[in-house]
Amino acid sequence: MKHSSFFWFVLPSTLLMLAFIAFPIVSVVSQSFYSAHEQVVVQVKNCGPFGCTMETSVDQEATAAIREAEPLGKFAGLDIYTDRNHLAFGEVAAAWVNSDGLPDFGRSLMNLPFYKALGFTLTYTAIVTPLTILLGFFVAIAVNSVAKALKGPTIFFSLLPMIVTPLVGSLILFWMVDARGILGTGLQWLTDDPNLSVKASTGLMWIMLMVYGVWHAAPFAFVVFYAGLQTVNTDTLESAMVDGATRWERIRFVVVPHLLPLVTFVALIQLMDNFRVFEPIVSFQASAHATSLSYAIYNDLGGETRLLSSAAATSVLTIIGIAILLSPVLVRTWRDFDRK
Amino acid sequence: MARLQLKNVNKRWGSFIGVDNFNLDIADEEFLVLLGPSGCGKSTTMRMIAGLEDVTDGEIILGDRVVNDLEPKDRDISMVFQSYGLYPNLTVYENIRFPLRVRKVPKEKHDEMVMKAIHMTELEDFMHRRPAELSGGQRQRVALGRAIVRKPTVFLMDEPLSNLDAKLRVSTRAQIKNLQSKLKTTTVYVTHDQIEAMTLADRVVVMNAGKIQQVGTPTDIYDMPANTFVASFIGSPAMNLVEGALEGGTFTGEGIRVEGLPTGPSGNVTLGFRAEDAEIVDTGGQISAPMYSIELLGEASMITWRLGGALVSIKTNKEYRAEIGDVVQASIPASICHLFDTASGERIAL
Repeated sequence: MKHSSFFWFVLPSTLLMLAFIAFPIVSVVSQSFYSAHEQVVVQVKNCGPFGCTMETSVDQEATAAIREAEPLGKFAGLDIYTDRNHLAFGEVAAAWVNSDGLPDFGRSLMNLPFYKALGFTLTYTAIVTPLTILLGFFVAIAVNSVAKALKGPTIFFSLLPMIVTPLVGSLILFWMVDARGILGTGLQWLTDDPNLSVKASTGLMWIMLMVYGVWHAAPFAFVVFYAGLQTVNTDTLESAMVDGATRWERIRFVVVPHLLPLVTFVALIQLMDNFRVFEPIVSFQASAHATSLSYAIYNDLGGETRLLSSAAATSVLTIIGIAILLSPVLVRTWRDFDRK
Repeated sequence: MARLQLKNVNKRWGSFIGVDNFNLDIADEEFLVLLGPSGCGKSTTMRMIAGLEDVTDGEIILGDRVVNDLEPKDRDISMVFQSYGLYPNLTVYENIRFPLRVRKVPKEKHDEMVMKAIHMTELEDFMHRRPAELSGGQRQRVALGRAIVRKPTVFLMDEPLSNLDAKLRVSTRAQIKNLQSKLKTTTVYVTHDQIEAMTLADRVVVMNAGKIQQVGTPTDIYDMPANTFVASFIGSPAMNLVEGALEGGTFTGEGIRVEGLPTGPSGNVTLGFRAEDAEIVDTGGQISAPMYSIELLGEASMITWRLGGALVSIKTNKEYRAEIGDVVQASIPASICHLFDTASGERIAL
């Protein structure tokens, strides 16, 4: 293809990418270096029948004028990144000095909002991603081996968790784990503890969120792997049967290597999705026990104070986190491409 | 002992009959070729022997065991597939070693057995490559190596040369023949290529529509075809078949008259003869008709007539020249002729 033809061919998509991806990122990054202007406060003498007093009030006009003159806010450099709500360098350093060993340091770290959110986000991503891939793979293998007549209904039921709206799905589970729900009561019966409450326990709440995450995302992995299974070379499978391979060995030596590129794809998508975990925390009303980076951004933007710059800084840190998480897979894909 | 017997074997899918009452006794160390057009049931028969397809009725006996209900891995067979069936993520060495690995053959024996198979299939230079880095012929040799490495009692080969180009097919064919004669292992080979069948087989089974048409040595099949299907399927070009009437030892058809045939049978028959057995003559030929076409084959020329509804061809020397439409005569002596019943297609014993 000629360079000029290529240029015109990619121009529309490049423009769209610039407008809808690059520009918002640049906007968020620049916003993260500015903090909101402080309100202009003036001392006003207020005289009444009982005498005069000096009162402090906000000079709305002066404040509006400053905000209009510098709509991004006051340049703060990296201050927002290093404040207590984000990387909290000062607090981390203090915790390091004052802590009694690593576990204590970890506990102190988890009291800082950013690290608390990051801790849950990373744990969620690290546990849900592989479990989703494994569950999706085994469901695909199972569905692929059921009788033809049953395949349609089985596929439909396997896809249900993905079809159900995340909010509704998580609300259903939320009610089920309630002390009066079937799962909550079941757990109380199993542990012989009538006071056991999933919602009151941080550990159980984390487990519940992750169980929901796997349940909700596994159908995506299942669909991708099921499609991949339809392209497994039948001759290779049959020659493995004749060679003496058991069912498990056929999966291990024929099916899994065939599906590996798809595992990379599903892993990439799931890493990105899980790192942005948000809906379950809202639906489970779990913010007291677990917050994620996305939840922190939502909290900053949705609160009364609308901490735009704080949300921007968390967003930038989230983007950096996703980039770090994906880098091994991307590097591997690039190497494979380069080898070809 | 690897005698393989198929007794009254049938394969049906609903009302469709894939293999119909198949009976065959394959001797130990025999090279048997199942030959027939696509859809004739030859691959289905092989897959039933392998255990990849269930038998509807009948028995498959390997040695002295009925193997109908055994898993493929328990039948002590190995199989070579048309599309090789290699493991793309394993090297040539690991592909050939695979059966030993999954059958839990002691590890200390692996290297010796694999290297022997690699040596026999001449793959020494490629043993560390993956299948994607090999040519079609090399891949099929890897499949052969994997088949021979654990010395099974029966080799099954399902059109192993079909994916190769013509030149490679000839050399790989020779290699398979050589390997089988060295290993002396009972072999069942499926093909639709009659040249492969003729060159490789101790015996050929010609199949059509799920039924055995004829079983015999390649010479038997070629010289004494059991019916018009076998006659028209074996040989290149296929046997000429002309319909006509036989009366008092004389066959008369459109544009052809052959005398001196047996006087016993009479009525509507089909006369068959091979293109290479007849010859062009100037006068007194049994065929005398305008030439339909002339084709130069390289080592010979092919002269064709249209006699009634059939095209009849004979081979002559490559220098022969005539124009299309010229009346050309050919000698068809009674001694080269075969007679078939026109209604049933079966051979009439002379």
